[in-house]
Amino acid sequence: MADFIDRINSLSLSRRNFIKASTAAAASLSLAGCGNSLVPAGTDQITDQEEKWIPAACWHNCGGRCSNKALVVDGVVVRQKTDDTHPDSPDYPQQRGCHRGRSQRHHVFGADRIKYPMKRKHWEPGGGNKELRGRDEWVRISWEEALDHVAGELKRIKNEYGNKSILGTSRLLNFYGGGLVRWGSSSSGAWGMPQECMTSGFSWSSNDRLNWRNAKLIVLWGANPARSSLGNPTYNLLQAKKAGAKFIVVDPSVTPTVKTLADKYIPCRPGTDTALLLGIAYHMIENNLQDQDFINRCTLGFDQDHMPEGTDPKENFKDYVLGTYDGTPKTPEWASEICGTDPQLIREFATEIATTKPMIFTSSFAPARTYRGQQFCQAFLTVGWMTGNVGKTGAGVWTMGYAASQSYGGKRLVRGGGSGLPRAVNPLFPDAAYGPYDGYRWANPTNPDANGMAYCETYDAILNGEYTGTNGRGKVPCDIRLIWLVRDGYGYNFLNQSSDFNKGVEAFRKVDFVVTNDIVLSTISKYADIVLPATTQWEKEGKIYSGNPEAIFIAQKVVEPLFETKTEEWMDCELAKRLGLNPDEIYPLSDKQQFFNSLAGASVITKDGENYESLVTITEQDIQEWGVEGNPQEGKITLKDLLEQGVYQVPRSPDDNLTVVQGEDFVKDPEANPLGTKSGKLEIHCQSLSDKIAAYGLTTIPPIAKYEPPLDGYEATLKDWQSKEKGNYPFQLVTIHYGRRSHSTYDNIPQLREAYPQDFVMNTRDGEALSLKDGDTVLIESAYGKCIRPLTLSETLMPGVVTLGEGAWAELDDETGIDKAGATNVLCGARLSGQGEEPWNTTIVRVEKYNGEPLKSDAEWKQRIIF
Amino acid sequence: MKIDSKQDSIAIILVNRTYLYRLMQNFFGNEPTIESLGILFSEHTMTSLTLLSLEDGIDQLKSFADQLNSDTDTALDKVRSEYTRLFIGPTKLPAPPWESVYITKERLLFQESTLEVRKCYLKYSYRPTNFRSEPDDHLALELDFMANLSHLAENFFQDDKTSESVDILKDQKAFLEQHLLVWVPQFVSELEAATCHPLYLGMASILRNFLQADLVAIDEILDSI
Ligand code: SF4
Repeated sequence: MADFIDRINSLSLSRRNFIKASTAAAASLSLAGCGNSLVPAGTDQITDQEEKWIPAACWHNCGGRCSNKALVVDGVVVRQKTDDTHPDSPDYPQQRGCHRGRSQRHHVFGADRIKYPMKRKHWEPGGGNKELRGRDEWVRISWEEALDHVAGELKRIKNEYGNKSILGTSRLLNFYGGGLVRWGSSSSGAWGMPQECMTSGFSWSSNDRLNWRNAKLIVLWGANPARSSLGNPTYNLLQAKKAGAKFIVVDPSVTPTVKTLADKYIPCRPGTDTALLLGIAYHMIENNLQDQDFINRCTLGFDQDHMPEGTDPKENFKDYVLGTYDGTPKTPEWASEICGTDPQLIREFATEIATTKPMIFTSSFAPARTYRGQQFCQAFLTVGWMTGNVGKTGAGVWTMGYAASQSYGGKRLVRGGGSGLPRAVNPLFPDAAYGPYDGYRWANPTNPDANGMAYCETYDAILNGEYTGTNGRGKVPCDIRLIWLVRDGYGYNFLNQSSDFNKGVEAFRKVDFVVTNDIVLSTISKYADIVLPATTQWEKEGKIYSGNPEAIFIAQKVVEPLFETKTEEWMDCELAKRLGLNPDEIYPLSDKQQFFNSLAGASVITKDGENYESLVTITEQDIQEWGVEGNPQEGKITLKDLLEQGVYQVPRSPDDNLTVVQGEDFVKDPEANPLGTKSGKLEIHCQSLSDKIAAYGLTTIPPIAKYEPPLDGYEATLKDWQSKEKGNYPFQLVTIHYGRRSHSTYDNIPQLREAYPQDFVMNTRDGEALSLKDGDTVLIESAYGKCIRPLTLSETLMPGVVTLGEGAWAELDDETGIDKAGATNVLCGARLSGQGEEPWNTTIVRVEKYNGEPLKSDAEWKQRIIF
Repeated sequence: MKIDSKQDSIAIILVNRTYLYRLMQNFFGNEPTIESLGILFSEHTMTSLTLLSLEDGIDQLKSFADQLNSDTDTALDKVRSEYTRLFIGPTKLPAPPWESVYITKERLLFQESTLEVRKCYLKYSYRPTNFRSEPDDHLALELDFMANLSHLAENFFQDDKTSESVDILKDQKAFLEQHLLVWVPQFVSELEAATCHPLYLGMASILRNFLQADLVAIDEILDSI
């Protein structure tokens, strides 16, 4: 034992003097800093140990929507659970969450939450040392100082350079004169315009999921719901399989969906789907397998006898396929050389889809996330329509929507009401109201009042001071000074999630000011000057989330805002005051009133499936308790019960009145029930599509589906087409949705990092040819950037194809230019295509063993900054 | 040993531990200032550390004191950046200063273990200044709790209220054994792996040794009164 008492005794200190000195020193310490200290607790703070389940948001852009509940004890979330409001059955399935939703509390309560307003050390108004963005030190500042800086820069830049020098959109910005908008298409790729012009949105939606059980054959093209659409989609598809449907999956790899559902797997190289579809069409035409009656009655443009008015009859699809005028018959053999699918397999596949009825022919968005991806959309719809599987039970030709609607389809059976908050339009881009994605799938390229550029042109616009004006406006000059991302906390992390990260960093290092609000230091915030700490949805007033058409989710506030985090509404209001705007005008309704309005306005379908009625019963007492304005009303569930349940789902059964056969009326009598397309029919030849794509000013497409090798596609991997000798970048990269994340959200969660290593996958034989072994650290390089990752060799991939999950938070080493995280946008170039779709799935790379220090697994990146 | 001088020694230990907890609380809960550094490098602090044989980190502290003397502005700026990097963010915290992170092994705040700590504070009617928005089990809050309790024990002892003093010391012993000593050793190792700054290396080493020494000191006092 140390014998402190004896030792001190031997020192003969004066008790009185020592106590005096200690007390004095302790007192001056208290003066010198009182952070992180305790204060006397009031009696009201005596701990309340009662447990309560609170329905909690799972708010990510994951495509799904599930029930999530948090067990709260004295302001602490001790557990989570998911839907247990009713027993699970195939007709009436529970809305159970996935591993990411169940990691939500790891997201909200992670030790790495941004806790206080932070400023980059070497930033000062005007930019300071801009080069240090992404590698500077940080300084904690007060909210006051942060808001003053942000408002100051906004004012200065608006006054000196005008609103067009601001890049971004938010409710506040829209009231302050607006900013430039980034428009384009990310997740749905090239699908927007073909759907609008060829089908008038007809094929976005589908028959309801119970009707799928009548299909004999279901084709999933480039779709991997077992990995990419979590929640119920795979379960719903399994019901169709149990009911007798055969599944065929087309994909460059043997995905979990192939393993779960497929009876047949059709391999196809990325970006070559159009060629495969043309080969299928050729076989059908050659053998007269197409449904000519349907084609004649319901479509235009298939053959020279059914062309839209005023078009050249030679420009018909059939003659293109047969090669009548261009001398190239698009035979299965022709296709095979491009897409890599065996010609015999193409023929069998073509026969099967042409002769099995009813058939469901669906595609995901992935094959359309390619350069000039519209060609795939055109070809897919055309071939689907050739089989005549439209407007019938158990049949359809659709683009599968997000997981939310994927495999559900049908009508929306229950929906939340509006919040009552008026729209805030961006004066510089009137088409884009403030929403989660700026000008997402912007449909009006001919609108001359729109100021902004395609996603993929953002960095060039910043660096070169000009962008492509739509509608033939040529290059439009610009002088972007401020990047604005103070908005709802949905993880809009575009620096990481848009093509060409390296160019993005260069662009970010050029502007005067970058401001973000964030939950954790995501990539875009890492390169910002000021980061404002944002609340998550768990710390905010409640909200209704809709997902699949059968359910809504009523999330409520789970805990008080952590640390100094604030809602974006609060930030907007505080900034508004400093900008001379009236916060009450920007937010005329409180968060609570908005939540109440959406509950009061919620509606549910009537039993006959024809109308909607109010969902919630609200009493005068409810209104008083909430302290809001409103009127009592009758509904199907009391407000209290709904809030407690947190989910409202309409039960289904095969004999209910809610079945939808999409387009039934149209197909029975197209003349009496025309579609919203120009001709009223499904347009295989679609001039308006061709014109509209041309109006964006990026790339052009013909009015019918034709294959043209995409930039950075399979052809570009070869040095010589004849000999098939490989070129500089011999591999085609597919950027897949990855289990660790919902896009870039959740990438920092330790347990998800452990479960999903963010490995780079290539075909075993390709790997062996390069003397690579499983687990090696490999360097992956494209013309745009390079990254390192652990390698997994697998026979599940077609030779020549490699995959990496999109969304990892780039960790760029400025010295070597190597990203360690495997952020796919380091490899994907910013190429301008079609309607501004990001052409991620046409990317080519080379792979070699990495000579530097091998990577530790991501889960072990403990002592490092992983962001 | 004379009874009186034994009592004096105990009183000195009691007041000394209050001071050291206060000192640790200050440096793990606040950005360093010229004032706080002045106190840290004072004669009194050195004596105070020596009393519990905590000489280990002193060399590190002195080397930082030299830096501070030769170029105050730069040294202060550097140490503040280091404090921000280590304990504030916004980049990933290398050694998060909250108990729950080490208990759950999941880098999580506001966990069930946080509630346990909250209960300990409430027994003495304390709560964190930013109750419910900042977790109760921040290192500096736990140290502040120990400082407050030490101060109480010390006052009771001065007033000859031995049994009250003993009760508090027992609670402090339990809090050390059930909380601080459970996680601080790991926290300190991770801190040491993450920083090269002499101030934090010194403080890390002092903190680790101090908590151990205090447990011994509490036992000794409990044995002797
Ligand atoms: S699928 Fe989406 S909504 Fe459902 S639990 Fe997973 S992350 Fe949450």
